[in-house]
Amino acid sequence: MTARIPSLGLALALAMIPATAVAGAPPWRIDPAASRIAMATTQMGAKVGGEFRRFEADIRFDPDDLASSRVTVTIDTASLDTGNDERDATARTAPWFDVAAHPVARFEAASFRALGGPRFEADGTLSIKGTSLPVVLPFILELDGDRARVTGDLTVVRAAFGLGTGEWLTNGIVGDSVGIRVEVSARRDAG
Amino acid sequence: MPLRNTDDRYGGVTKLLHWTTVVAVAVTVPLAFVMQDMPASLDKFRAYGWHKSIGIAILTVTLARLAWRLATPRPAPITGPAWQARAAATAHALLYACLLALPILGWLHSAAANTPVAVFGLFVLPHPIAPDRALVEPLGEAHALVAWLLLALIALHTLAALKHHLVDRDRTLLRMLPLADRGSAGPNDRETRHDR
Repeated sequence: MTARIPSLGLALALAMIPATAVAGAPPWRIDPAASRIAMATTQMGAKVGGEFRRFEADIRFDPDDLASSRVTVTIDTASLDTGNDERDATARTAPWFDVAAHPVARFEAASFRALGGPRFEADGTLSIKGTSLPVVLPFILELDGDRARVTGDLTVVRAAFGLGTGEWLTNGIVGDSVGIRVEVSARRDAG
Repeated sequence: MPLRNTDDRYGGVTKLLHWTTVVAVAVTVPLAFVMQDMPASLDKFRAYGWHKSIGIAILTVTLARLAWRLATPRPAPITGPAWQARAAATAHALLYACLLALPILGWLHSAAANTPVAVFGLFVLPHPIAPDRALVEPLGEAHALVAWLLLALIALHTLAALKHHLVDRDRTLLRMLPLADRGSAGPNDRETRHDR
């Protein structure tokens, strides 16, 4: 009997941890109409941009409790819209996003730093086409009651993720670096 | 060969602008037929790049031609029926219209399709209209329609020039040929001298 009391205590303590984490960093629900994940690169030396039209975000974030904050963004790779059907179709093929084999790209972050004022940084992992690489996403957080607006910019080298293999790999026709811009409007989830 | 047109012959500038247009059209129009069906590849990007660059060059050269046309008198028309002179004037006006409209429609088409017009890799033209999927097909069709009209006019223009040369045996074709004004031996040599 006496041995059970610590066991019970441990079980209760373990059960408390996730509850504490949830309480510490509230979930947020994004407003898809006011949120976008855009990309920009160059084609023939000219700037060309697009947007991933479909993505989901699982956000638990509290600027005062960064330790328990975490974010996962899942992007439908087939939803890239660059305003050109032929180019979008090419982006879905095997040398590029290979959406048949890799339908989603993912950004996960569980480590955040406050840089002062509205500026933060997320140490995350970006997974595209089977390659996961550490990335740092600096972002601005504007809080207004139970609403939040996050804008962040990140630049990646497409070849690092195997985007544009074969003849597309090294040339000046499609730019080597790709800018990613994240603009997310979210509301604190009451539920 | 004088640079300016004279009463009976075209000058060097007009000839250069005319034959530059001929070469440019002879390259970029067949390229258009080839590039459309190419699979997505670097070569396809390059082909479109050349097509667009040459098209913008044609637009520039045509504007220069019209300016030069205003600045220097044209040779007197070769004597012939009035209806032929009117037909020639109409055909020439339509040729100019096509040479202006075709690159402009292509430029608009590129903008609607959100693809850049990078001119010979030197600079990128701004989009005159915002990208719009709904406009891509109509503008593409208009571009193709004007291209066919241009090809028909070129056929007419060429046949008329050959008819002047081979049937009427006048100087209409010779006065536009490069280096043809020296009057060296040729089928029209006699008429040439006679005209002078």
